Amino acid sequence: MIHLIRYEFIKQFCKRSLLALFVVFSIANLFKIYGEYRSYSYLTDGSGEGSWHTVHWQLYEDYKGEITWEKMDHLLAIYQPLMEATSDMTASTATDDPNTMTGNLYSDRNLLDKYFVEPMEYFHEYSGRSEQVADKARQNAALYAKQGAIYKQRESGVIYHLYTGRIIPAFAYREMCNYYLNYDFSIVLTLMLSLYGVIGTFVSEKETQMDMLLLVSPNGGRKTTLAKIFAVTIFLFLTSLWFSLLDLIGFAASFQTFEGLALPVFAIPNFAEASVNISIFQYALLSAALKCVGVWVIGLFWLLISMFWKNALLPFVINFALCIGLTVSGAACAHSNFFWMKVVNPYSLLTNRGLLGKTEFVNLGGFPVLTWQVAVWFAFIAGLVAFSAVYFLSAENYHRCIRRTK
Amino acid sequence: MEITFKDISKQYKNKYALKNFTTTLHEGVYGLLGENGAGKTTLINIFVGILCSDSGTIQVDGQDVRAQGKDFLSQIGYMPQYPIFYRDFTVKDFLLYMCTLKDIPTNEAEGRVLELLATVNLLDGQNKKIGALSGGMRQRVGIAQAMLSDPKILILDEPTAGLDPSERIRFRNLISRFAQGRTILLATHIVSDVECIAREILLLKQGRLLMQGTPAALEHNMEGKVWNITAKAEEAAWLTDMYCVSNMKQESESFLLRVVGDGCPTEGAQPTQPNLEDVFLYYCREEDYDTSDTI
Repeated sequence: MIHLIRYEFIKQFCKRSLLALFVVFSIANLFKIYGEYRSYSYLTDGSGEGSWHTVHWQLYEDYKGEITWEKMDHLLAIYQPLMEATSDMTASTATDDPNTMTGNLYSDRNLLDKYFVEPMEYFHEYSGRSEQVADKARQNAALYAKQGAIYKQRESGVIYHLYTGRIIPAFAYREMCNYYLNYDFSIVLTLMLSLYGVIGTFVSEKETQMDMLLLVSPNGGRKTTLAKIFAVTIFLFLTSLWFSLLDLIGFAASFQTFEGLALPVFAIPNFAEASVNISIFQYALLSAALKCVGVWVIGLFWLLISMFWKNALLPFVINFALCIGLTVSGAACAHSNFFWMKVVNPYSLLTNRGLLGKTEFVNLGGFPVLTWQVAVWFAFIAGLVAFSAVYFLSAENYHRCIRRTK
Repeated sequence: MEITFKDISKQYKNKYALKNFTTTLHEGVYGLLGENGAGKTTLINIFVGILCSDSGTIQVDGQDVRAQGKDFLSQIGYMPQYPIFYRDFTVKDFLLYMCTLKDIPTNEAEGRVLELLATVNLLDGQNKKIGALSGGMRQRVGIAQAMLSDPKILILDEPTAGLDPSERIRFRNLISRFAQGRTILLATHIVSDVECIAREILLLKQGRLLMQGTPAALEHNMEGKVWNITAKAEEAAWLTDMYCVSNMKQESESFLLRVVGDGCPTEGAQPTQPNLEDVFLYYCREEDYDTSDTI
């Protein structure tokens, strides 16, 4: 079987056109990531003495690591005079002021505000806010228990356990992680590349008339189909993992740092209500795994649809339309309260911010289950259904079929 | 080895593609002759398990092939009509892949591939991509893959289609080489492909086995039904309209016609020795056969 899978992989995915597309898409992704950095980061102004980039990393050495009162006092001691000096907008607008860090008072204030004061304030206050949420959840649980609302009581209980003890103990540069976690372009590339790779799996056998030869071979028929499904699974996983890795490396290379990966994921404002208590690096791993599952499910349905056609054009159009449909509906309900829509759409596993970034539950038999967990289970079941359908609907040699049924 | 087909039928909608096909094959080359749409490919597809027959049984040495399943598939080598194979694979890689499909152990595969490549004279082209091969070379790859598992039964569906005469002769000789100790079923509508190498001919028309026999026996049955006639242009045109003319050759101002028919077509017609093409033409004339197979 391993030999068969190896050959199926080589046959379908080691094609020059696919490899070329892989390279082109990877380069396009890196350009896009670099574009994000150039467009949104304020630290792109080079390595001159007064540049934000230089000043930021110099100051960062003083404040990174454990958040202490001493560091906060030190930061405020620099920041507050600047605030006062610039609050009435009458301060000097000179850009070569030797008494400033960046050459301009306003620039100094903005740099400190964006990269140090605001994040440190958020980090420092987060534990208090999450404690409030946990406390409220505990109170709600008690109230619901009195009212006999068992499901709501359980839901509040889960929220309580999830938010209790949340703390951001250390200060770190989070800009790279923020953009990395909110980046979606590579998902489009992953889907396009996967579609191009998967679409020919069965069709190319028909186009070359190899389907007949496979059927007549002792290891052909469903055994080959199984090898194809495994090869497609490997391809989809590799493609998805590659782009997940490329995203992380691309962002780290563009922002020239891996700083921030050890922060808890709720250190990023979009993830303040995250349903997982893990670090950003762990989140990256979980996100990569969820993307694999999402692409796998979608890929198996593409495979299922494509196996009924003799040439690639029509199934490509149908599968592309399916892909667009999933993307649009996934994007439309990502921030809505239609939890089930998120859960059943495998595209939400690809973006996964909508699932992991919020604490939302689905009522499963009276038990609150986090949406991302339900989405994963649903995707597994849908994937297995597609897997079985591809396997059992694929052609088999009649001499073998009849023997099995005897 | 004895292969028995018993009452094999297959119909599509209301038309029989194969009707009550019954025959027995032994070792040697069998030419399955018939026009396009006669049911040759249907028969082959049923034999190899690509299609399911509506009725009938196929037995190999007295055992139903459906009961043998994978064991039966291990015994057959099959070459489909117009194979394209994988264009990006080299010849050798493709054959190694086919070895995997045919359950040939990895340690034996390479040796077997090289041996067959030498037999089909493709050793020099083993590293060529299949997409870069000529039609004849591709057909040789096709027969090499069919022979990989040293099968007892070799089934070739129109293997010489699209080949030039020299490639066709080369391919024919190759089949003869492989014939020893095997049953080869070769489907074609090109009479010359099987005329010299077939032990027996099976003539199919509209899904029915019209006749089966050695080429010599089939030709013998046709004696007195093939005529040579020398005629002027006008008479030649008339004869062409009225009779089945298998050949027409211009000789100075007149034409030499080869006419296939039951009786002497005209005065002066000379009976001549029939060949297999005449047999094919005689039995496959459209007007002679009723089409009562439609339901």
